[in-house]
Amino acid sequence: MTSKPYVAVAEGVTKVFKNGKLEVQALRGIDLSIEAGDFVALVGPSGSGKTTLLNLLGALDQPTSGEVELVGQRLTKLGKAQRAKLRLGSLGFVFQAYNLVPVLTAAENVEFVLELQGVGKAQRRARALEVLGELGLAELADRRPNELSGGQQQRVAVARAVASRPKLVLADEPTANLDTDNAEQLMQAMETLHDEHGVTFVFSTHDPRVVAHASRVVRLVDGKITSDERREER
Amino acid sequence: MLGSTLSMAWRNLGRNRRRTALALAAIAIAQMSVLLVDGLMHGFVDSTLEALTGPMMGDVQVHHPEWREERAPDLVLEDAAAKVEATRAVDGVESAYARIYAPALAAREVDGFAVMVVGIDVDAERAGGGLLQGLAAEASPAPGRVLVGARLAREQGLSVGDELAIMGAAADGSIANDLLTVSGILSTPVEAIDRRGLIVPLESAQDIFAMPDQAHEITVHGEGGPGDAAALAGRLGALPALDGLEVLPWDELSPELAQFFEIAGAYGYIVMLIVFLAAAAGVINTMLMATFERRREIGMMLSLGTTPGRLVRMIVFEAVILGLLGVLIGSALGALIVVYQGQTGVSFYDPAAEGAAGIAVYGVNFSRDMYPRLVAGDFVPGFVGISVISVLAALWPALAAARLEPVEAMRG
Ligand SMILES: Nc1ncnc2c1ncn2[C@@H]1O[C@H](COP(=O)(O)OP(=O)(O)OP(=O)(O)O)[C@@H](O)[C@H]1O
Ligand SMILES: [Mg+2]
Repeated sequence: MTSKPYVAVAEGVTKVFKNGKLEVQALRGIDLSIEAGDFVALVGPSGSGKTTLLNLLGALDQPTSGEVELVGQRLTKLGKAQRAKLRLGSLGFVFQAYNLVPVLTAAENVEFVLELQGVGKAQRRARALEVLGELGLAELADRRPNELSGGQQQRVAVARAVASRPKLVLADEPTANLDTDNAEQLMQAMETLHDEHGVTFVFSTHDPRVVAHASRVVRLVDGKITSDERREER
Repeated sequence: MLGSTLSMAWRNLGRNRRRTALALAAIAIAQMSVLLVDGLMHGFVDSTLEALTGPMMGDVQVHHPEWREERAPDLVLEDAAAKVEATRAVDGVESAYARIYAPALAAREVDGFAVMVVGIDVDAERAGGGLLQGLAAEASPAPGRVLVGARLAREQGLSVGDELAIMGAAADGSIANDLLTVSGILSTPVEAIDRRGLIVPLESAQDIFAMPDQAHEITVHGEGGPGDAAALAGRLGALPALDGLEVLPWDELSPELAQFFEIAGAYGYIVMLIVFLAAAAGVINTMLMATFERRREIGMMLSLGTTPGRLVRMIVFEAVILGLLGVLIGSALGALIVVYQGQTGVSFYDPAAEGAAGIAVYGVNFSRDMYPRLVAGDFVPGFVGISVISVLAALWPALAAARLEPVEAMRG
């Protein structure tokens, strides 16, 4: 068995939210390793801690205890600015909603992250059009988000997430606001990127049809991982 | 980077057009008001100075050093004709003429009344912007014929052809008296002349008051106008012929007037302050609302790894574009209006309200139109002030937004 490099590792991770006197144990000891090339579905009932875990894997939050290591860097050692830099350089994000900057066109939204990374103007334009083209969005390149359907917006968000060539793309319920057809299209887009470019995805979902696309399914219940299965066949 | 940040700021302004338009209007109106006030202020100062230095005061005056203090008839300038000649030869002098001011008692029948006999160089003051500018030759004073101030004529019931006996103190201490015929009525913005003036030719005054080739004052008009008066006074003061005499520009002759202009200017600043505060409220409101509305979007950008600095720049640019655009619009509108007013003139008082005699400012009755104008400096406070206000107004919401935890912000 060849050992693939890990892009993300969680060890004994807990997360406690305090709301005044109320304490919520969102995560209770998570051990999880994401390998390069994984296509992971994170499933579990509402409130089981999926978003909380994705935020930790996305360097958007810090664990209460335990350690998260992202592309070789220990999260607890990083400050706010360093985490931002890590996100910009190594991670891609697809959110459930409010993914795109409303005043930028589809192509400009894709370029936005590249520009933050310091990619030159001509190069980032070319790469944005390339990725949009690959996802069948070439004709929509110059439209603003409000001129796109929900499904198109999410696919543009995926294009943006992968255009910066991240080590890991995190998507928290990316299909939650989409109908079945659009959800299917989005998953196929992600699958193409995974299969052809080896992009590593971790996404959460409630939808069994979306789960069906995953090559690995991690189940969370009550802040704990109850199962972690790999499937060779999809 | 800068280009796209600017472009995002610009596009963000277009998201809520109504709100942006309102803020623009507030700023534009602020700058326009300031320019209108400035324009009127310049027009007012111009026409006041023009009215004051024009017919009566001149730009510079020459006196016996104690004359202004004492006003005694014997504090005279000797060899007046030669001194006037020497003055006229000085660089930048447009016109110069000698005057005599002698208080006297006048009577038509029995009751006497106080008057001021003013002896003037009739030809010079009819030509060169003096007291008699534009007066018809037949109405002009001549030996034995006197021109009477309009208000004095009205109050004493004097009309052309009436005879007046006058009596006063001559410069040599004797009693001066004469019998004069009213040749005309003079309506002048100079209040003292309008109320008490009896204008006679300089030679007549010299005869009546025993002042051979003497005068009390030389009034000088400069080519450079009131603005150049101090320099002109300096050159005149260096003249040997005027050695030992007091040579003063208008702003030292009438310091209260100069001070009045300063106070008027200070009111201008207060207006400016109030108006800019209103504009500031417009910018602050717009930027607070805008950043508040875009909380989720800002959270998303921060999640992607946008630096707080970039976010702050974007929001500040947005405010500065808003502010500068508003000032530009206001400047254009204000300049247009002031240029128009400058062409047509603005009337300071209602001509129908005759008898009210306009507004008296330091002895000059304001009955003339004024012509508003702007100088480059009038535009500066708006541009600088609004730029500073815009940056400050945006900085608070921008810093607050940049400090947000991305996860918190995205939750909305
Ligand atoms: N900021 C917070 N403050 C307090 N409690 C929180 C916070 N975020 C999450 N929680 C709590 O932590 C637990 C896990 O929440 P989380 O959002 O991770 O669940 P989830 O699996 O994503 O749920 P869903 O499927 O509904 O999105 C929940 O009980 C939730 O109420
Ligand atoms: Mg969730």
